[in-house]
Amino acid sequence: MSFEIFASAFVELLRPSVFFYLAVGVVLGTLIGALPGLSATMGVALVTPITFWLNKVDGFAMLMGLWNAAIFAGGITAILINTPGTPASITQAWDGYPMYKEGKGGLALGINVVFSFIGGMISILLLILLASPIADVTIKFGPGEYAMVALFGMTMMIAVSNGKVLKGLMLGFLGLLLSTVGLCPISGLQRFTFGRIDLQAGISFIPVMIGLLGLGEVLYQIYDYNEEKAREEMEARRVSQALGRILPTAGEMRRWTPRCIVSGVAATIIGAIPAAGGDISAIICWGNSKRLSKEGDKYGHGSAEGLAVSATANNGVIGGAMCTMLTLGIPGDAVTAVLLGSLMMYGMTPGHAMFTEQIGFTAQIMALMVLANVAFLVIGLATAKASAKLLNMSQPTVWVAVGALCIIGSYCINNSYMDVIVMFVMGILGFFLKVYDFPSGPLVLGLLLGGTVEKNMRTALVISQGDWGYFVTRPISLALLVMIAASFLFPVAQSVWKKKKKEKEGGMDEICE
Amino acid sequence: MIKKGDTIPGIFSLAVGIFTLVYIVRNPKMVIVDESVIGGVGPGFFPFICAAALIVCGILLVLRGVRQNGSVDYFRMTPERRENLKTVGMLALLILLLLAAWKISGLFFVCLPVYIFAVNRLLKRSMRFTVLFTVGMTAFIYVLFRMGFSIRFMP
Repeated sequence: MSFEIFASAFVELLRPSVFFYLAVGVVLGTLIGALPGLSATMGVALVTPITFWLNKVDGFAMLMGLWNAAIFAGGITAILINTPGTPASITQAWDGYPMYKEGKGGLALGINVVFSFIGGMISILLLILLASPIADVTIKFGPGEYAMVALFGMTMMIAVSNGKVLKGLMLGFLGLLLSTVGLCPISGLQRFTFGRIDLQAGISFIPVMIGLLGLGEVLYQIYDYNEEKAREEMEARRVSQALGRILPTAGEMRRWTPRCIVSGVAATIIGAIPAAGGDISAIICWGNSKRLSKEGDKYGHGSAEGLAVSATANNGVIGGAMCTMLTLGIPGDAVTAVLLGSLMMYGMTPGHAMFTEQIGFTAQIMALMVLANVAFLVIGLATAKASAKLLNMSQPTVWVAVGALCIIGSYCINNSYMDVIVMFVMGILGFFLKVYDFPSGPLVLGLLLGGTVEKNMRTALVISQGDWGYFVTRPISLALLVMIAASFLFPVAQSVWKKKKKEKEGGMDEICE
Repeated sequence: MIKKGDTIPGIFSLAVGIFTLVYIVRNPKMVIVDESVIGGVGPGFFPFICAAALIVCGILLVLRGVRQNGSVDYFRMTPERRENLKTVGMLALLILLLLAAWKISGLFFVCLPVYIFAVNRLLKRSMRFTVLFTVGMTAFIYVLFRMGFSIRFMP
């Protein structure tokens, strides 16, 4: 991607509507990220239907603003009430909350904003530099390779299962089965439509996401609600302690920035690995920085450097996740899964086409990410102290608002009553999945990538006249097949190894006793 | 201890898998593998793979549930959670009532405030807050979606 294309995309974005929707996205993202229980994924899933009524640039401005801001704002609750607003903010709680208790809450909030911005900018820079060369490789892809790439994406259902492999596989196959509802991509036969016209186009991805992550989450939070605990938390949220200065000094910035640049690069690479999200990135970067830093022993006890590293790693994954999504069509995390659905609904196919026919729009997405970072830096610093007040909003208020928005959001995508029914059913399913400790990620992956796997695999078989050897005789396809096998076998081997290690340790304990 | 552990999700998985298999078998056009079909794979191939996998996963989950022998209970009921579960059920019912009323009457902006009001009362919010929130939320949705995006909300 040349500088001219990027510069012209940037100039095209200099419109009041883009800035307006970007600001709306940042404000919504800050609100969503700062409220415990609301995730960036839920926010993006809820707002996506609204963006279909805007032109695609304005729509993506809102989504990019929301996503980037929600990730950084997850650190606000982590710092002020020791509750990460998003899973990726866990390490921010370890250092941010002790800082707040020491009366350095303002500085902690400032570090969160500034270093989230630095992490975001590093990852976007790498995205701009690396996405195009990766996409150039995809020009050699045929249906066989695309089928293998999508299948590789689906193997991530194990990785996103959080150790619950069997449950993850079950849900992944359920998602794959749901993706077969509608017309067969090759023969046009109606499958599982039961004579309903509104099911012929298949099950829309967005209502499923809204149901699982929105309504399902609300129902579970109501089920798990403890009035006494909630009252105590509300008390803790009534911030009375003075927050102090916000901005780090120039000396502090000089001391922390080199380490954070390394973390930003590492986080981008981790983010590009499908299913390795912000939480993994933050923990890996924070852990390594603790090991290598001179003040490593302070990490976890209110280290400003530790907080800066966490904030950088947290937002650093965004560019990596976008890179995998735009070039290969594999969602790097749950948010990019929703964004991938949005891109497809706009009629775009991730891969080489995004860097040839759609290069202008791809450059605009990247430029929007830069603007989103600048916007949350400005808004975040200006409202750092005021944002603490957001935490006073009670959970029931959030539940009613989110519940109503789930119904409206799912209807708005296609003006379809059936989509609302799908959202409701998925909401109930999402509730039971949470109760029975099932990870919802694999279901989402199966539904999202199932259609691509089936269509491309069957097209490849039509081309090869039913010869399955087609997938192993093409070098890229074969390489991907090896990766698929490795990604299936690695967690199994890891689990067996851990089990053996545990047994060995158990045996040693018995001997010692 | 059939009600405990992973037994119920296992039965659910089995039921979905068997239902899919029955659907494929009863529908002659849902060909799985047939040399006469171009590419050798028919429209029933992928659903068949999913059904088989769901049945295998279902059996494994049921077996695990039986082996857990009641030691794992996801629905651990405290008196508070029992009350909360009723609220969850009532909220689901209210959503169903909203959907039914909307379908029958076609008047979304009459049904919506009633729903928001009822949910607020269900969650034990004060009458003053409930009325203010209902009016504010309905107005926000009307202005943004009906006036702003011209969505007609026809079921």
